[in-house]
Amino acid sequence: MAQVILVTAYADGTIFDPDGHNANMHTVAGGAGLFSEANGSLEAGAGGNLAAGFAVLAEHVRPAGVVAADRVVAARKMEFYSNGAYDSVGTERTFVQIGDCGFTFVSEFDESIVLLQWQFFIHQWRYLAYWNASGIDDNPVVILKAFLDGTALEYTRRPLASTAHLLDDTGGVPDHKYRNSESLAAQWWSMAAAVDSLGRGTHELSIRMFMDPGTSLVAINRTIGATAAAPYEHRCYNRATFGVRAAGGIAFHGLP
Amino acid sequence: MYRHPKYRIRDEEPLSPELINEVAQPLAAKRHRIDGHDVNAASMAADVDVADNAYYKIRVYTDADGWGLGPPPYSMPTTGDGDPVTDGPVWEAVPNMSFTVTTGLGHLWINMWVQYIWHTFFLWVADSHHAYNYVSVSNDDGFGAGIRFAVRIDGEIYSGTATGHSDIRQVGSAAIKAEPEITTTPDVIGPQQPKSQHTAGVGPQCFPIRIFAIVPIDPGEHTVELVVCRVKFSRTYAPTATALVTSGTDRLHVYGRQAFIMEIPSWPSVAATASVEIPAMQSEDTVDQIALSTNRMAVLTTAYNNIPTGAIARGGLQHRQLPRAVYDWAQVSIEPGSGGVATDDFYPGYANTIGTVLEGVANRTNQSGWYLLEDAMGATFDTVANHPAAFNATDPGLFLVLANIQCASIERDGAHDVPSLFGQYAIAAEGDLDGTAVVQWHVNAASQALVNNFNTFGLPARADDVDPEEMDVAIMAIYDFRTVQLTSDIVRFGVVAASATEVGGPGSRCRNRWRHGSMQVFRFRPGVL
Repeated sequence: MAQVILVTAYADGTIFDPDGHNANMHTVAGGAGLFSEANGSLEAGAGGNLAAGFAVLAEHVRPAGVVAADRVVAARKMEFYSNGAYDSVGTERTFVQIGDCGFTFVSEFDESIVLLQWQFFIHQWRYLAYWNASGIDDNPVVILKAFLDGTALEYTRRPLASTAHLLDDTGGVPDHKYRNSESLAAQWWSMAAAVDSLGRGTHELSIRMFMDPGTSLVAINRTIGATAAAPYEHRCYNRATFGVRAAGGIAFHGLP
Repeated sequence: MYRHPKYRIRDEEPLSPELINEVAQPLAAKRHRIDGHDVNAASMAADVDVADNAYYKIRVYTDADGWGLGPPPYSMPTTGDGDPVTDGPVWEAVPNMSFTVTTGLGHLWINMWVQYIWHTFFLWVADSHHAYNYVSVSNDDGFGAGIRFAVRIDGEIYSGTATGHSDIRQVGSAAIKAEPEITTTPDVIGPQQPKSQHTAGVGPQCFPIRIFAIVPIDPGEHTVELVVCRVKFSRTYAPTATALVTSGTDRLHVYGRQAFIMEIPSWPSVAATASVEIPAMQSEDTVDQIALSTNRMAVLTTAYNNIPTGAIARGGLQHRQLPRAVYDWAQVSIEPGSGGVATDDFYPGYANTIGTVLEGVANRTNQSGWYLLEDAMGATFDTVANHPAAFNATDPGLFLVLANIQCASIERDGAHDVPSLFGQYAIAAEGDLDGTAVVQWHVNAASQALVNNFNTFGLPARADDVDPEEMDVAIMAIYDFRTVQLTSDIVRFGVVAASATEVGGPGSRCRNRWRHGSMQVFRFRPGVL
């Protein structure tokens, strides 16, 4: 019940009724009392307190009360090498966070829907040994994945393409050279994830990478002028380089 | 804020003017500063009307600018409809992607999307259009397109949006070393490093670019632009189809493009007021029905039973008293089996977007039209699983759909070493979007993305290298029903794919293979920026 109804009328010629007047001002049970109705019981809808044509306008909304946005950005280059800090051969055990490509944010309300977005420029020197000295192809993986509060968002799992094509001569391929498609494969990734029921508190989006270090020794032809030198073994690693990048979030509040 | 009667009048207590004034006057003052404490939150959130511009304002732009790759039999994409990008490291605005907006204090949330195609050295003599030509990885080690896009605000490139390196002379190093590092081979001086490449911009020959930005803004007029510059380090590609090539340089054109700009206010403007005036009770005033009821209590009662818009305090309401800032939303995702999923259905052409979506494994192969993506278990990549209800398209609103697809490879008959293999992705909606009273799939033309087998052409065939491309295809679609609505709701949104090759056309089995994917659908409130 929202409409204010005075319980006591003020008729001329009658004795002033203090209790009735007090009830007109405030009632514990509600349904009457100007103060008590206005202290949290004003309602919208039919039978409510709002005038015809009432509408919430922009000036009535608390700053960031229904939509809030935040982001982090970075422009400096960041490089990762597979022989750096990774110890999990052949598994996806160790995902390492990409600096400045993720952010920590505070969710104020339980009811919020948050659209998280992240983007980065990436190019990689990821080798694919067609035939290495032991006769086995070697193509150690590099995988990116987004994590929210430490839990992987599996649908964001993305391997990186091979760009360093190492063509050994032990497998019968006559062209035992090195092809590089790193410039061709350089990409801009812009991804998103929507979440609700995050709950109030601090949350963290992080973009992480796993690099299998591999173990490849590859024989590559090295040519000086017109003279082809003998294939010479090289130890290969993977590198992923991040350029401009950003992460951000838009929180949509309000009751569903 | 909460207020209570200052006095409780007791029996036989002298009725002074103060007793009346100090309960009545605060009520009058409170009525034009009503805030979140004063309202029933659940009732307000459920039933209150919210003005179109109350939460945010939105500006959108869509341009379905075709790339000249029509229906089968295919030719190569031509530059007929696109806009050329000037070579050189100078930022220039992408045509039609400059927007002037007037805002208050707050943030701009920006999503921009564009499709580019790098037309390499291939001059189509007949109509002087440059056509697409492939780039071989084996040809000069396959330098990329070197294209950078960015969001520019009031003339300044906004940090975090330039699709490349801040240092345009960036060179990647080869993560390789000779073993042993000192060689005894007489014709080689020490260890030799393979050469590296300049890599400062995006490389594939054709690729969609989606950029987001969250930009703090001051009150006033602002110019928001999508800008582009080409950081090109190589012009060494030789013409290949010599019968058609005379001379000329390579070209890079932009095609379909979209913009979504939302102003999110962070400081409310000054609110109008709707005050209630009641006279103060003076000494010696007569306490009668007119004084107490007509001039005071009845006025206040009416005031609290008929609250006008102007009675709400500036910034007085927040999330608990208000309906949600988005009308509706959904997210869906697919995850692959071990080998991913592929379709070789034929691309029906850029303009062929109505009723051409096919579903089900039986329709995945050798059909003409778009194919609704699915995972290896047959779950379709549409919103039904997480949002079985239809999306309201009969009331004013605006949809923003974002999708990402892990495109693993574009191949033909198991081989990647084939020129001009294309994969297409787009966002589609099922409903009566064209007013024909037929509920069917409509592919969003402006969302069409074109990708190709950029990464391995020119390399020896390798049967086990099944996923050489490994790109993330980011697409986006805007459905603006703020002014004109549909007559029925949208049943579902989905992501569709097709494939095309100018080598043989239909039946050539160009396969477009994907693995993971995700899609976010948001239905926003109206509001015009």
